[in-house]
Amino acid sequence: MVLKQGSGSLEGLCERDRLNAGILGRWTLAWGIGTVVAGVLLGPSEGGIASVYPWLNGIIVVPLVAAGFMIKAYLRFLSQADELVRLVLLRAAAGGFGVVFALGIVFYLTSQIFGQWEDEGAITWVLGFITFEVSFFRQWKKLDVQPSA
Amino acid sequence: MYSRLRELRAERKWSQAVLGEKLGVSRQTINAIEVGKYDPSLPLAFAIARLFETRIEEIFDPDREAEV
Repeated sequence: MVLKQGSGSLEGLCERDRLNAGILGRWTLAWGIGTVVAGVLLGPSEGGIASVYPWLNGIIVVPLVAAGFMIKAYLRFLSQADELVRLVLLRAAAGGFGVVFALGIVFYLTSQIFGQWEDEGAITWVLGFITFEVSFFRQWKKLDVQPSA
Repeated sequence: MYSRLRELRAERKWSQAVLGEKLGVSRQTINAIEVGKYDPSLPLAFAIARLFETRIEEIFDPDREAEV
Protein backbone atom coordinates (compact mmCIF):
# COMPACT_ATOMS: atom_id res chain seq x y z
CA MET A 1 0.00 0.00 0.00
CA VAL A 2 1.29 3.44 -0.92
CA LEU A 3 0.87 6.27 1.55
CA LYS A 4 0.62 9.90 0.69
CA GLN A 5 0.53 12.90 2.97
CA GLY A 6 -2.78 14.64 3.59
CA SER A 7 -3.42 18.25 2.75
CA GLY A 8 -2.56 19.46 6.25
CA SER A 9 -5.65 21.63 6.33
CA LEU A 10 -8.14 21.49 9.18
CA GLU A 11 -10.55 19.60 6.94
CA GLY A 12 -12.04 16.71 8.88
CA LEU A 13 -12.30 18.51 12.20
CA CYS A 14 -15.62 17.96 13.89
CA GLU A 15 -18.00 20.89 14.22
CA ARG A 16 -17.11 21.49 17.89
CA ASP A 17 -13.36 21.60 17.18
CA ARG A 18 -13.87 23.86 14.18
CA LEU A 19 -15.92 26.24 16.33
CA ASN A 20 -13.35 26.23 19.14
CA ALA A 21 -10.49 26.71 16.64
CA GLY A 22 -12.37 29.68 15.18
CA ILE A 23 -12.85 31.26 18.61
CA LEU A 24 -9.17 30.72 19.44
CA GLY A 25 -8.16 32.20 16.08
CA ARG A 26 -10.28 35.32 16.62
CA TRP A 27 -8.90 35.95 20.13
CA THR A 28 -5.36 35.35 18.87
CA LEU A 29 -5.96 37.89 16.11
CA ALA A 30 -7.40 40.36 18.65
CA TRP A 31 -4.35 39.82 20.88
CA GLY A 32 -1.96 40.35 17.94
CA ILE A 33 -3.70 43.52 16.74
CA GLY A 34 -4.02 44.81 20.33
CA THR A 35 -0.32 44.21 20.94
CA VAL A 36 0.72 46.00 17.74
CA VAL A 37 -1.63 48.96 18.36
CA ALA A 38 -0.52 49.24 22.00
CA GLY A 39 3.11 49.02 20.91
CA VAL A 40 2.66 51.83 18.39
CA LEU A 41 0.72 54.07 20.78
CA LEU A 42 2.95 53.49 23.80
CA GLY A 43 5.99 53.70 21.56
CA PRO A 44 9.64 53.08 22.40
CA SER A 45 11.20 54.03 25.71
CA GLU A 46 11.37 57.70 24.62
CA GLY A 47 7.57 57.73 24.43
CA GLY A 48 5.03 57.30 21.66
CA ILE A 49 1.72 59.06 21.06
CA ALA A 50 0.74 58.16 24.64
CA SER A 51 3.45 60.47 25.96
CA VAL A 52 1.43 63.36 24.48
CA TYR A 53 -1.99 61.93 25.43
CA PRO A 54 -1.46 60.08 28.75
CA TRP A 55 -5.00 58.66 28.79
CA LEU A 56 -3.91 56.47 25.85
CA ASN A 57 -1.79 54.45 28.31
CA GLY A 58 -5.04 52.61 29.08
CA ILE A 59 -4.59 50.82 25.72
CA ILE A 60 -2.32 48.36 27.54
CA VAL A 61 -5.50 46.73 28.90
CA VAL A 62 -6.59 45.65 25.39
CA PRO A 63 -3.85 43.06 24.66
CA LEU A 64 -3.94 41.87 28.27
CA VAL A 65 -7.69 41.20 28.15
CA ALA A 66 -7.36 39.62 24.69
CA ALA A 67 -4.52 37.40 25.99
CA GLY A 68 -6.74 36.27 28.87
CA PHE A 69 -9.54 35.29 26.49
CA MET A 70 -7.01 33.68 24.12
CA ILE A 71 -5.69 31.44 26.91
CA LYS A 72 -9.25 30.62 28.00
CA ALA A 73 -10.16 29.72 24.38
CA TYR A 74 -7.04 27.54 24.08
CA LEU A 75 -7.84 25.67 27.29
CA ARG A 76 -11.44 25.11 26.21
CA PHE A 77 -10.25 23.90 22.79
CA LEU A 78 -7.82 21.54 24.52
CA SER A 79 -10.39 20.12 26.95
CA GLN A 80 -13.10 19.56 24.34
CA ALA A 81 -10.94 18.54 21.38
CA ASP A 82 -10.89 15.27 19.54
CA GLU A 83 -8.08 13.18 21.10
CA LEU A 84 -5.78 13.37 18.06
CA VAL A 85 -6.30 17.14 17.83
CA ARG A 86 -5.50 17.38 21.56
CA LEU A 87 -2.24 15.49 21.03
CA VAL A 88 -1.31 17.81 18.16
CA LEU A 89 -2.20 20.90 20.21
CA LEU A 90 -0.07 19.71 23.14
CA ARG A 91 2.90 18.88 20.89
CA ALA A 92 2.61 22.29 19.21
CA ALA A 93 2.43 24.02 22.61
CA ALA A 94 5.50 22.07 23.75
CA GLY A 95 7.37 23.20 20.62
CA GLY A 96 6.35 26.83 21.11
CA PHE A 97 7.22 26.77 24.79
CA GLY A 98 10.57 25.12 24.02
CA VAL A 99 11.48 27.90 21.60
CA VAL A 100 10.45 30.63 24.08
CA PHE A 101 12.43 28.91 26.84
CA ALA A 102 15.56 28.35 24.72
CA LEU A 103 15.54 31.83 23.19
CA GLY A 104 14.86 33.35 26.61
CA ILE A 105 18.07 31.80 27.90
CA VAL A 106 20.04 32.71 24.76
CA PHE A 107 18.86 36.34 24.86
CA TYR A 108 19.54 36.58 28.58
CA LEU A 109 23.10 35.28 28.15
CA THR A 110 23.83 37.43 25.08
CA SER A 111 22.44 40.52 26.83
CA GLN A 112 24.75 39.80 29.77
CA ILE A 113 27.72 39.53 27.42
CA PHE A 114 26.94 42.14 24.76
CA GLY A 115 24.54 44.44 26.61
CA GLN A 116 20.77 44.84 26.58
CA TRP A 117 18.85 44.25 23.36
CA GLU A 118 15.59 46.17 23.59
CA ASP A 119 13.30 43.93 21.48
CA GLU A 120 14.43 40.55 22.77
CA GLY A 121 11.19 39.82 24.65
CA ALA A 122 8.93 40.55 21.68
CA ILE A 123 11.07 38.49 19.28
CA THR A 124 11.08 35.54 21.69
CA TRP A 125 7.29 35.51 21.94
CA VAL A 126 6.71 36.03 18.23
CA LEU A 127 9.08 33.15 17.36
CA GLY A 128 7.44 30.96 20.01
CA PHE A 129 4.04 31.71 18.55
CA ILE A 130 5.18 31.02 14.98
CA THR A 131 6.69 27.72 16.16
CA PHE A 132 3.36 26.77 17.73
CA GLU A 133 1.49 27.46 14.48
CA VAL A 134 4.05 25.69 12.27
CA SER A 135 4.23 22.69 14.65
CA PHE A 136 0.46 22.37 14.69
CA PHE A 137 0.06 22.24 10.91
CA ARG A 138 3.17 20.09 10.47
CA GLN A 139 1.97 17.52 13.03
CA TRP A 140 -1.52 17.55 11.61
CA LYS A 141 -0.18 16.95 8.10
CA LYS A 142 2.18 14.24 9.32
CA LEU A 143 -0.59 12.32 11.08
CA ASP A 144 -3.05 12.66 8.24
CA VAL A 145 -1.54 9.98 6.03
CA GLN A 146 -3.94 8.79 3.38
CA PRO A 147 -3.88 5.18 2.22
CA SER A 148 -4.13 5.20 -1.55
CA ALA A 149 -4.79 1.51 -2.10
CA MET B 1 0.37 -0.93 17.14
CA TYR B 2 -1.43 -3.32 14.79
CA SER B 3 -5.17 -2.94 14.46
CA ARG B 4 -7.91 -4.63 12.46
CA LEU B 5 -9.85 -1.40 12.31
CA ARG B 6 -9.57 -0.97 8.54
CA GLU B 7 -10.64 -4.56 7.97
CA LEU B 8 -13.65 -4.26 10.30
CA ARG B 9 -14.61 -0.94 8.77
CA ALA B 10 -14.34 -2.33 5.24
CA GLU B 11 -16.59 -5.26 6.15
CA ARG B 12 -19.31 -2.77 7.02
CA LYS B 13 -18.50 -0.53 4.02
CA TRP B 14 -18.06 2.49 6.27
CA SER B 15 -15.80 5.35 5.27
CA GLN B 16 -13.32 6.73 7.80
CA ALA B 17 -15.53 9.80 8.13
CA VAL B 18 -18.62 7.69 8.88
CA LEU B 19 -16.76 5.64 11.49
CA GLY B 20 -15.34 8.82 13.01
CA GLU B 21 -18.84 10.25 13.25
CA LYS B 22 -20.16 7.11 14.95
CA LEU B 23 -17.32 7.29 17.49
CA GLY B 24 -17.36 11.07 17.92
CA VAL B 25 -13.81 11.57 16.64
CA SER B 26 -12.29 13.08 13.50
CA ARG B 27 -11.63 11.19 10.26
CA GLN B 28 -7.94 11.92 10.88
CA THR B 29 -8.07 10.05 14.20
CA ILE B 30 -9.47 6.94 12.50
CA ASN B 31 -6.89 7.25 9.73
CA ALA B 32 -4.00 7.68 12.17
CA ILE B 33 -5.11 4.59 14.14
CA GLU B 34 -5.43 2.53 10.96
CA VAL B 35 -1.94 3.38 9.70
CA GLY B 36 -0.44 2.85 13.16
CA LYS B 37 0.58 6.47 13.71
CA TYR B 38 -1.60 6.89 16.77
CA ASP B 39 -2.70 4.56 19.56
CA PRO B 40 -6.25 5.28 20.72
CA SER B 41 -7.06 6.21 24.29
CA LEU B 42 -8.62 3.53 26.46
CA PRO B 43 -12.15 5.04 26.27
CA LEU B 44 -11.90 5.21 22.47
CA ALA B 45 -10.58 1.64 22.24
CA PHE B 46 -13.56 0.49 24.33
CA ALA B 47 -15.95 2.51 22.16
CA ILE B 48 -14.47 0.89 19.02
CA ALA B 49 -14.78 -2.58 20.51
CA ARG B 50 -18.37 -1.89 21.57
CA LEU B 51 -19.27 -0.57 18.12
CA PHE B 52 -17.89 -3.67 16.40
CA GLU B 53 -19.33 -5.94 19.11
CA THR B 54 -16.04 -7.58 19.90
CA ARG B 55 -13.22 -7.41 22.44
CA ILE B 56 -10.40 -4.85 22.40
CA GLU B 57 -7.71 -7.53 22.04
CA GLU B 58 -9.43 -8.85 18.94
CA ILE B 59 -9.02 -5.46 17.28
CA PHE B 60 -5.69 -4.25 18.63
CA ASP B 61 -2.43 -6.13 19.07
CA PRO B 62 0.29 -4.14 20.87
CA ASP B 63 2.88 -6.83 20.12
CA ARG B 64 2.55 -6.41 16.37
CA GLU B 65 3.56 -3.51 14.15
CA ALA B 66 0.91 -1.84 12.03
CA GLU B 67 0.72 -3.10 8.45
CA VAL B 68 0.46 -0.09 6.15
